[in-house]
This record gives sequence, C-alpha cells and structure tokens, in this order.
Amino acid sequence: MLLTKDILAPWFDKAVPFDAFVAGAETMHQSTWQDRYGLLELDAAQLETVGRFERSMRILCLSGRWCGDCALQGAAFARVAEAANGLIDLRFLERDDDTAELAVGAMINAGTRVPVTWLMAEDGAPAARMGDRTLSRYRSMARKMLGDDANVHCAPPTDPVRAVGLEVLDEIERVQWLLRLSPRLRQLHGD
Amino acid sequence: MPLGLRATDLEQAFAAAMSWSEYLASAPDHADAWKRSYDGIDLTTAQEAMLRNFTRDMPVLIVSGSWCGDCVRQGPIAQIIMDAAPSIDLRFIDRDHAMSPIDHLQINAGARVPVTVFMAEDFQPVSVFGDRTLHYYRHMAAERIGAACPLPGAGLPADVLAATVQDWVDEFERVHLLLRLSGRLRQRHED
Repeated sequence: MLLTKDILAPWFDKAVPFDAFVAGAETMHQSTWQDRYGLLELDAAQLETVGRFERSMRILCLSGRWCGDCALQGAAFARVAEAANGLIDLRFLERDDDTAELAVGAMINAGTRVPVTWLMAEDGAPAARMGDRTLSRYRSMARKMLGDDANVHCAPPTDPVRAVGLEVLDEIERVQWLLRLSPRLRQLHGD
Repeated sequence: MPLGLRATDLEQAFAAAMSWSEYLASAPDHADAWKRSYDGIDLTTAQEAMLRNFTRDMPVLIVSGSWCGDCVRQGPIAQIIMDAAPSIDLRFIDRDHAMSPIDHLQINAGARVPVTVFMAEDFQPVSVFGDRTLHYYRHMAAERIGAACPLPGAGLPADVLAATVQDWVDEFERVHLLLRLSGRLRQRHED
C-alpha cells in the first residue's frame, strides 16, 4: 500500500512542480487551485512549525486537476513546501491513462480515488501515504449528506479550508519527526 | 500484477492474525505490559458515543511485535477503541509471521511496527497508519528519546496519552466516514 522506493522513484521523476501542474489545467480549474492557494497562507504558528523542519523529503501528489479536494490539499502542500527553505521537493501527477498503473496500486476502498499523496525520505523511501480526504472534509460531507445521522460529535470548523491546511501540515510535521528521529538518517547525517 | 497490497492478500493475513486475547496468550513474557497499558487508557464519553454508533463493518489489522515498546503503548489503544465499537474487528499479526504483509508496509526503508491497515468490509484496503502518531512523535522529539524503540513498561504522561488516543480515534473516525459515505457501500447497503 505504501509502495516501494523503486516503484515510486520513476513516477516522482515524471511528476511536475505545483505551478507547472496548475498551469496545465483548464482555465476554470486553474482558478480553483489559485483560490485555494490564496486562502492557505501560513500563519505565524504554522511558519514556526515549518521552521523546525530539518530533513529533506519528497512529496508526490497523485491528483486530478478537475478535483476540488486535490486543489485544496495540493495548495496546502504547496504552501508548506514553499515555507520549508528548500527541504521539500513537492511534485504532482495527473491521474489519467498514463498513471493508471500507479493509481491502481493506490486504490482506496476499491476505487482509484484522488488525491493520494506519498511522503518520502530524502532518498525516496516512502514514510506515509495520505488520502483521499481528510477527517474535517469527511465530517463536513457527513453533516451535509446524513444530517442528524452523521455521528459527528464536534462543531464544524470556523474555516473549513484552513482546517484542511492544518491537517496537511500536521501530517508533514509527523513525517518530519519520523525522519528526524530515524536511526538510519541520524546515522547518515551524524545528528 | 497490480502494484501494492490487494484485498485477497489482506484477507489471508487477517485470517492468520489473532484477537487481543489470542495475541497476549501467544506472548506470555510481554502480556502483563500490554495489559497494564490497556488498563491505563480511558476514552472520553464523546469518543465512546461516536465509536458505539459506527455502522460499517471495518476489519483492522495491526502488524505488531509483542516485544516492541511502541506496540505496547499503541496496540492497547486500538483494542480499547474496538471494545467500544461493535463494528470494528481488530486483529494482531506478528511482523515476522509468514502471512504478515510487512513487506508491503515498509516505512522509511524499515520494517517498522506498529503499522495498521484499515479495510472495508470486503478487505479492500483503505488506509495505512503508523508507525507513530503526531502527538507521540512530538513527545519523543521533546524528550529526545530518539534512536531506539522505547522499552516496554515506560509510561506516557497523561496529556500525551490522551492526545495519542485522540490521534487514533481520529483515524478510525476518518476511515469510518469514508466507508459510510462510499457510493459503492451505500449502494450495497441501501443507506
């Protein structure tokens, strides 16, 4: 499910940075990505968190340019990567016929859902897979679709977009600690 | 051959795995540490209410080591959650068991445990969770425990334990909502 470094490396090589990926979208979809990006500027506390990052990492997002959740999470990943002083190499792949093999290897609940994101160590060894939607997004969907039967026991977030931004940052932070405390990488870096 | 783990692989691993009581009976030298850990965990009323109302059957497989301090701390959290949620079927499989899927679940180039696989009712893979949660990693980083798997029996501060339990509950909730809102499963269950 996490796939391997050897499987992911050629896909990462084919993938493109955030700006190039968004530029390849139809105009109506570009605005969605740009709008989400505009809403997800990191606040002071989030910048402080990112400032503590020490390990280089790769992040590969399998996305759909037409997909709202992809735009939301993708923009959040882009904001964190930009603030990380070059530590994060963030790239995107479109889920289409050319990436079908990867999408099938990343199926969730029997579907080729997007977004699916792999967070990797500096050498491409996978450390985590994230997707498709975050908890706050699923809670929002459940409230809308199921009403009183949603079984969601917390208040809606004041800002649903920034709630997803924080969930993305939390997962990147988790993997940063995983890599920072990794005996393999501590030995490699002498720290 | 599709990339990654398939439902058939997971169903076979799940069939070879053990319940909590079977797993502890298989490791008498470590069982007391697992039981002490379990006895120190409490769910909140809200967590219990949410878990009790899960409606989708959800097999969950923890790849574990009975000797592993992180497993001693986190495995009982998952068991407490299962005890509160009748729709969850939690099993443990030793990392080195012949049917263990650990080769597909390598994290940062290592066979780390615990790693947890969440599945739909028909064993379709949904999510991989591990090895440690964000709050657990923040605690480790603050304490500079660092390089090694902590020894079994060393406790967590109450606030760290509560936050780690919430990390686990959050992922169970996310996966349950994913399954509850799944078009495939809503059609099957007509709900």
